[in-house]
Amino acid sequence: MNISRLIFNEWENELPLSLVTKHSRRQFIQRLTHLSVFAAGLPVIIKTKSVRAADCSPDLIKTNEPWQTIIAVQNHLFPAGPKSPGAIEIKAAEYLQIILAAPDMDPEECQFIINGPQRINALATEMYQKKFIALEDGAREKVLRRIEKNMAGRNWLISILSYLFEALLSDPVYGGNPAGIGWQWLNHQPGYPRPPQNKKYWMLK
Amino acid sequence: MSDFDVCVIGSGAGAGPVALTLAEAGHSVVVLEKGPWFREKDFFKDELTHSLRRVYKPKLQDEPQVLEDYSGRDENGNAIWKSQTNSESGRDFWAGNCVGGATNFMSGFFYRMKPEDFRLLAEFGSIAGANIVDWPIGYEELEPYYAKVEKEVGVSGRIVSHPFADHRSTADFPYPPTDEHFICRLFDVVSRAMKLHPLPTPRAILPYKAGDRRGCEYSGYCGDYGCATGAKGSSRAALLDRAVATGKCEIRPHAKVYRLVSDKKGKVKTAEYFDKTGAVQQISAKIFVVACQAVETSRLLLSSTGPHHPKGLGNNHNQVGKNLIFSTGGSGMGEFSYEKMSPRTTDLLKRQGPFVNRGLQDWYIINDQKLGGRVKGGTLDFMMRHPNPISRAKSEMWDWQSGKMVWGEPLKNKLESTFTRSRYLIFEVFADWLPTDNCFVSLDPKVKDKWGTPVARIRTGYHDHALVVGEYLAKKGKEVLTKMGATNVNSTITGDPPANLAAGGCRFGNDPQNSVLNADCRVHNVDNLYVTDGSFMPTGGSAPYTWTIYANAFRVADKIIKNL
Ligand SMILES: Cc1cc2nc3c(=O)[nH]c(=O)nc-3n(C[C@H](O)[C@H](O)[C@H](O)COP(=O)(O)OP(=O)(O)OC[C@H]3O[C@@H](n4cnc5c(N)ncnc54)[C@H](O)[C@@H]3O)c2cc1C
Ligand code: SF4
Repeated sequence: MNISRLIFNEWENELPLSLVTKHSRRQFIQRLTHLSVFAAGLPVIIKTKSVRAADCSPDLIKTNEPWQTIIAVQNHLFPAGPKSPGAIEIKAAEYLQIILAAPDMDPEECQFIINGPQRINALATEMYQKKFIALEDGAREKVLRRIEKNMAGRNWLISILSYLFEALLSDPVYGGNPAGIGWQWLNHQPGYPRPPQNKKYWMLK
Repeated sequence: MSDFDVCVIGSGAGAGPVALTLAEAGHSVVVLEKGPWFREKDFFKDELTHSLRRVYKPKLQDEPQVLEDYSGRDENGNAIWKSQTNSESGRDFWAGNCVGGATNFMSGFFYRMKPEDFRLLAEFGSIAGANIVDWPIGYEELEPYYAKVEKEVGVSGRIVSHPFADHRSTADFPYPPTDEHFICRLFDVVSRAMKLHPLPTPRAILPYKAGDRRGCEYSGYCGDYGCATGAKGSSRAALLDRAVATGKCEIRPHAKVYRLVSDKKGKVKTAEYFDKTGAVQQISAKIFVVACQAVETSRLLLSSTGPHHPKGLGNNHNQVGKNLIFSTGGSGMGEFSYEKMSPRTTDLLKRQGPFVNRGLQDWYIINDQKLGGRVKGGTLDFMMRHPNPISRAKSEMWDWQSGKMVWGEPLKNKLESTFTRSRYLIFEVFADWLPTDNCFVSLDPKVKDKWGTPVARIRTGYHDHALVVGEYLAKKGKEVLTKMGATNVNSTITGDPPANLAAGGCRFGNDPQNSVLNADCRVHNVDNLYVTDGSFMPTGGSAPYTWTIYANAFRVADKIIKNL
């Protein structure tokens, strides 16, 4: 068995079933169309395997792994443009760290996200004998496209992009979208009243 | 002596009218609601809270459901039903668990059912494979209560002449329509030119302050969102707050009822519930009213076995949970690109607050040989695409043709285009969901919730006829959008049941052999047990039906008073 097969097989074992469902095409279609009387099908989060005891609290030092790789991937997926913010401007990494540490985060999902860079770097090393962050744009693209073809990899990328969209467009109270930079870029008008610091979603009970 | 005259379980559309009517009549009422009690001050326009996380619905690891989906036929031609927990199937039937239930989050497009809806079988005949029956009451009996809902819940609207216009006992709506979006003008002109009858959709939304409730502030985020002004006619803001103010009604949040205990004669004596700490509590009352939303109401009755009810309350004839219905539908969408418009029109089109408030019911009854003659049709409801930005952005991460993910510059271009270059008008299609033997609730023999009680197992088979009608209506909707100048017009009709429009499971009827409730919505063989949510409906009409649930609950409240 070649190394990338091994990487992907192991990775798929770690893929929480909840994420496959959350990211299913049906969920996306439902959210796209049925939002008024037919309410959106909401993401389903359920623990289906027993959660490993490993601590999922994210390492806040951004120069360390896994964050170096996560940040590099975020920048590749969402680069800044001449008139548009990129992953750095919308604070995608900071936002992700906050959300992964939120009290209601599913530990399995958190673990899955945090473990992703190991797989990506293993694949990058197999393909180019370098870590992901050391690659040029073109090589990065090739690694990520390869990752996309694998079920676990694809789900990992969907997670990263989904949280990136949250950083871009959720209320700045959550730590992304500083001063509404994402809203401004997309001419988006937020609704009122906006959530205050003490009413974030995990505080409502 | 009982603790209360009446114990109401659940606090949504089926519960509020009962609690208010009885409390105002001087009876002591307790409302047991499994979720928390949020007020106006707790609701914010936060997409994470409302649409992307499970704040108003239980976590599925705590309260799962088992779903059975059709998955083809075996070699003998028998249908195969694959059962999955929510984690596998990707959907669930929780629709809002807090005081006021799903009514907190509804859009409040309000439609009365038509006289023909009460006698679907007599009017249109039977359809093979569908368990269609007529209602034991007619429109005339419910009409005064539709009028009552207009006043008590607050329904705003405008009467227009129309081939299927409602028969009304009152001259006009108590409130004028809410502010309307500019596109309504275009819609009216185009649909009139098509010889259609643009219908201002009544809304359970106050256009101005009334009592303690503020008028609508046109936040632009209405459906799926709790209302911070009280303008939306939720059971909580419109009815329960007033019931509590009488001093005769107590609301207990975090009270999850798991069993109704009945005596040897079959009468219900107590409701047992788990409180916030997980401790078991008990309440006695003279009369019990169940209004937990269709799926959970059937689950509770089936879980409540007793000496006289070995198969569950009201289930001696195996009817509880049967003939669950939803609203058949799907939706369509058209794009209005700013590129082709003047700056002033673009400005008007971009406005977010005012509502579209338009429907078409010209095909409520269809007379078309293509469909085999005179058949029951339905409603098209038009509205702007929901502004939820994260959900919209997420739908741009795919190239739907190739199935590949999109990122980098191409993704950013897609986002810019969808957010800044056009607006989307959508329509939703409502046709009758035909009751069948393949759509029902039972108790799962294995899976339990966090309290150790059996969860609902839901089979959601649909009838193909409903899709045929749905497609017919969607075609009409697309014609309207196209004539309005929309591009990229498309639609999807589906047999996937919408989780938020669930009814049936405890049909009312005159024959105990094939119904659970009598015409007063009292369980046939139990003197003191009523069901007042959408469970009573044998058929659901072809429009959203919360107005009907509210009206019927007011009607039943009057019957309960007579029984006290
Ligand atoms: C996003 C959205 C948009 C909608 N838009 C429209 C619309 O435009 N027009 C329309 O007509 N309808 C609409 N609806 C549907 C409408 O909200 C429902 O039809 C209506 O609320 C159903 O009333 P109900 O009493 O059956 O259930 P609910 O209102 O859901 O109330 C049931 C309550 O019972 C509680 N409960 C359940 N089990 C237990 C238990 N064991 N013990 C104690 N409490 C329990 C639940 O927590 C809940 O609060 C919408 C719904 C949603 C979610
Ligand atoms: S204020 Fe108006 S628009 Fe906002 S949620 Fe309430 S009813 Fe809907």
